[in-house]
Amino acid sequence: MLDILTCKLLRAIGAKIGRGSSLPGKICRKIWPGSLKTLKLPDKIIAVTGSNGKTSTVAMICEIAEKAGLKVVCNREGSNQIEGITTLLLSSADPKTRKVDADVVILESDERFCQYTFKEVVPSHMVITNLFRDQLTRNGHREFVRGELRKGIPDSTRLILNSNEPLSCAFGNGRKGTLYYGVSAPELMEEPGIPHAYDDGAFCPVCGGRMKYSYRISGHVGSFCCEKCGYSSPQADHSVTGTEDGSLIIDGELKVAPQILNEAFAQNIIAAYTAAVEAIGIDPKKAAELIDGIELDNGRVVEFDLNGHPGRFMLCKHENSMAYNGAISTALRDPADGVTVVFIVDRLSRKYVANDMSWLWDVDFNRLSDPKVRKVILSGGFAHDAAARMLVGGVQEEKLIIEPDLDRMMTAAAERSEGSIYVMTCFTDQYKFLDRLRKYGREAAK
Amino acid sequence: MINIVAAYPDYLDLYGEYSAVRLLQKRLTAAGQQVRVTELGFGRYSDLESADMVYFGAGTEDRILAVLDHIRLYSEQLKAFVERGGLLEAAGSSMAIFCRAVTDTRDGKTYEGLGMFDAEAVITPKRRYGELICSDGSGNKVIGAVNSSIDFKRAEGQKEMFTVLWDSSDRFPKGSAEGFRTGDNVFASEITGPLICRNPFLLNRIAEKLSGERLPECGELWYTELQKAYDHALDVLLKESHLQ
Repeated sequence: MLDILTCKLLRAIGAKIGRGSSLPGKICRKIWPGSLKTLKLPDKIIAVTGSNGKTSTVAMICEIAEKAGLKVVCNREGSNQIEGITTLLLSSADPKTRKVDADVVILESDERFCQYTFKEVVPSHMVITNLFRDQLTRNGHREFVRGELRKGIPDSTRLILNSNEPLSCAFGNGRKGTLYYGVSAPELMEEPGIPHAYDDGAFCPVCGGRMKYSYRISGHVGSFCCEKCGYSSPQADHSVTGTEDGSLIIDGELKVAPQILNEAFAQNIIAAYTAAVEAIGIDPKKAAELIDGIELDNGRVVEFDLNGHPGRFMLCKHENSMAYNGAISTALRDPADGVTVVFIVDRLSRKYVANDMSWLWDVDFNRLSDPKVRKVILSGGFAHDAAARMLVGGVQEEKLIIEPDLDRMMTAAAERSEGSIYVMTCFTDQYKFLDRLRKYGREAAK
Repeated sequence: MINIVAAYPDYLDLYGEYSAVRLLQKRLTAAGQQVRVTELGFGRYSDLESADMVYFGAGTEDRILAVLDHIRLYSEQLKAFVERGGLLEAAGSSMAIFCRAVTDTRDGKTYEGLGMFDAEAVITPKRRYGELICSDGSGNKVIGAVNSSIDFKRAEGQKEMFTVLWDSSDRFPKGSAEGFRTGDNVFASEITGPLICRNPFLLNRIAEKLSGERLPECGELWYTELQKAYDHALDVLLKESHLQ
């Protein structure tokens, strides 16, 4: 009882000083190390992990479940390591009965921390969105993360996997009851021949043989088959099969309008839909209705106007080429004649010594040489690294505006942009743009 | 014509390493040299007899072992290439391929390496990431990162590439040796960045070695930006290291 009361108290205090999500759990784990295991949890516990899309997928599953009238406990604050999950569950429990008052628990988990969290809380279902190159300064490489994640998948947990992503999809090999989701909409397929900086789908993650794709959605995500061992994209239980009037078509019949029509949103929506239908048991038609038109209020996409130019701020992740590649694809699909891309890279991490810029070479910046892209504005301390990378990738010199100074970047964006503006950066640098955007708006209004 | 062989470029492709060969090509072309790049790898053969340089990038531990197994097909050709003065460079984890032996502590197996360096590579389960400032012995500071789970045990007398001035992870003590060199044509460093992209003076040095002459200053914008990027990163690292 004392552990729960202490956690609730610490969470309330912590919330006032901005440290309420993981610190209470950290303290409670030191004093009562076994308390998480003794909680009474609902049968439906859905874990969501993977390199990209887990926060959005979790938000969508929550939205569907709550709109369906279910009581949900979820770590929406994003504290996805064991301390944060301890805070969430202890503070959601009744001190007397130790029961977590929820119909369903939805947990976002860091890939490398599943091995700790899910020894104490066993999920009924686990969605693994993908394994991409992500924060390699912390994660090393994808194969290392796969090995760490494997240690965190309990035997009894039913997996929900992305049938289009070869490395994470292989977790389902030989595992009974695994569910798969995918995207096979021709409108969302990549044009063949797009030159990628690297290809994580070139070799089979099972036997090392060469792989072939019948189509690709983005990078190495697509319909794959190993020429040597035959490992291939499994038949999806649920998939995005097409698009119509800006909506996704699920399983050939249900229409769902995404916030942005792109391959990343399509994958997140079908992952959330599959979890809602298969893990929570929501009727497919109802799940589609509840997710239709969903707009995530998490600041990942911000629409704005700058000096008459329509703009879209797209939160990406430094050290994550797939996130930037998705944003670049979205910019290239903009209906306007021309676009301006603003790319800010000033700081990689708030926690670690991290100045490694090798990930810039993994992003498909070469695609910004497309004639649709009229200007590319580079800013932040590492603007010169970005400029060198883009120039070597074939981006035309005359397009580039290199302004390491953030204030001058803002002026350049307002005065020299052509067409729609797409701003791409990471959460570590987002306010360097958003704060200036607000200030610019206030000054323009005077 | 300068012939560069990119070894396993789509397999040893971590940390932007593919770009090293592209930059070399660009630097040499800017100086008026003709360059041909070919690939050696699984199902791809390159004639090492006409090669001037062979470049190996960084890869995962399993891929390093797979390449070690495959490259034995070419070990005699590689030795002949090195003996006639061909430039061999290995970046990041591929340094292990050229040691005497590679031991994988995950399964306890030891594999015979190509033996160009008097050292042993040990694959461990623990990953380390550190940012380094090194001295190249000629007054230049080399910067980059080591992102690896391989330990290297160097025999006495094995020459190094660089001397470590600072390592954010404390794996390399100040003054310790980094990388290996044999003669003046076989080089390896654990540092990625990629190494010759992050350090334009190294790019120049290798380009000059390949062309056999002092190259004119490169005035192209990509190169100027690379220089500015180096200046900024060095400044940041010097502040973090308190070396400045």
